[in-house]
Amino acid sequence: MTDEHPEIERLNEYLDQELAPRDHRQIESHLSRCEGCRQVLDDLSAIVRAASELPPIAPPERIWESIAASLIERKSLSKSGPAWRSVLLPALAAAAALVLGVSLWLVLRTGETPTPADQEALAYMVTEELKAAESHYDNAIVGLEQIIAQNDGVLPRELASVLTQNLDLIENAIGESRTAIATEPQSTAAQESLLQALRSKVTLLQNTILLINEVRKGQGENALDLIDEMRKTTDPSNPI
Amino acid sequence: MGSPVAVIEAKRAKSEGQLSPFPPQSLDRDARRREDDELVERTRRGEMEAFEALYRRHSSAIFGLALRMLQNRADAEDMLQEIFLQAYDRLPSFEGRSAFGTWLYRLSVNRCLDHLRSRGAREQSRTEPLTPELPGRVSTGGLRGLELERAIGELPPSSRAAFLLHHVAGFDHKEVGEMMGIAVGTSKSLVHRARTRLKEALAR
Repeated sequence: MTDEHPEIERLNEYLDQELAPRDHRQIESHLSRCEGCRQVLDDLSAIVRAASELPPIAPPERIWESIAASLIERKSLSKSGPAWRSVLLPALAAAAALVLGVSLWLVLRTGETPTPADQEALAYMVTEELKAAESHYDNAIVGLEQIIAQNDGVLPRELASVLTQNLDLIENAIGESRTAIATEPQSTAAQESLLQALRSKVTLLQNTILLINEVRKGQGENALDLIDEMRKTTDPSNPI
Repeated sequence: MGSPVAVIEAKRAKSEGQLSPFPPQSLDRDARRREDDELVERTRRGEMEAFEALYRRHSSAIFGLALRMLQNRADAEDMLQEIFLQAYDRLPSFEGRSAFGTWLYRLSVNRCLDHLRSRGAREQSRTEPLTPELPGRVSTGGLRGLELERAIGELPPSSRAAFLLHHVAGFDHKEVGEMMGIAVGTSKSLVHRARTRLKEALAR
């Protein structure tokens, strides 16, 4: 029987006790006679031992400080959510309640024919509630616009340009609706159009703030998902 | 009481992070896991202090891995920061099937391997000598830690990763395989290859 030197891979397996009992005994027997292979095994063992003693390495303190600063900045950004919500939510909730009143009146109008006195009273109610809803939306819009103004320059120019174009379109719709209401105060279409345009503006401004947050966090890819979510939660027909 | 030099050296060793190996032998692994789980839960509830505690418990081990993997201190520091920020972002999806430490190692080793792949594509040999920065003066039967650190830096990335996870961090091959997305046999093979290459490098 020849006593060949085992390959180093076999010695590695021997070291890790991964060999079948018979193979293990065979290597053991060879090692008892071969100084060279014993030396190889000792070297491998020393590497394993030295590796297990390599210490952890403490990072400089500034790394945590930097991580903490990033997290704090994110928290302050996410606080812009509650910040704008605090501006927006009461106004939107009030506007939504008023829109509900107007909608109820619109539904009633399609029912029994009201008396002239009823018509006058209802017309007055609609006009007043519409004004109030408009005022609440306007308050929300002012708050949102302030937040956006404080973050001027954060959004990429192309994106800001698209948002501005959309805002212009909505502004036109608001202007046209108001003109229509001034001409025909009782026009259901004009009233609905105005409320819809105001809702659209609020939604667009909310999404703009959301985009600003995402861009500042460097996570622009999340913005669209979040915008979809925001659309659901800011639908005035589903008060927040 | 030791000599003034010994005292200074002891303090310096402490400040350089030459602490007990990770995971600490003195702490029961299960107890450590339970503590981590609690800190994870508190972090999810928004407690920054809990996340800092997680950082304090794991950052030295992860920084050691990153430094030995990347062989460049500035890159390792950036990597450590990225790893913990990513870990924070991903905590909501951490299901606790593995220990937080294992999960963090998985995230870390894959980030390091990705970094090496992209760095390799950008520039072949930006690697700077690492050894002067490492506290590696461990004497083990004639083999000095410093020599071993240098030789580890010459290993191919996958072998280096498997070797560090198995022999330095103490994970078994099943865990290494799961972390690196490879079979158990591949992990063993990578570690064996690493040991063989280290032996050759140290013999030079």
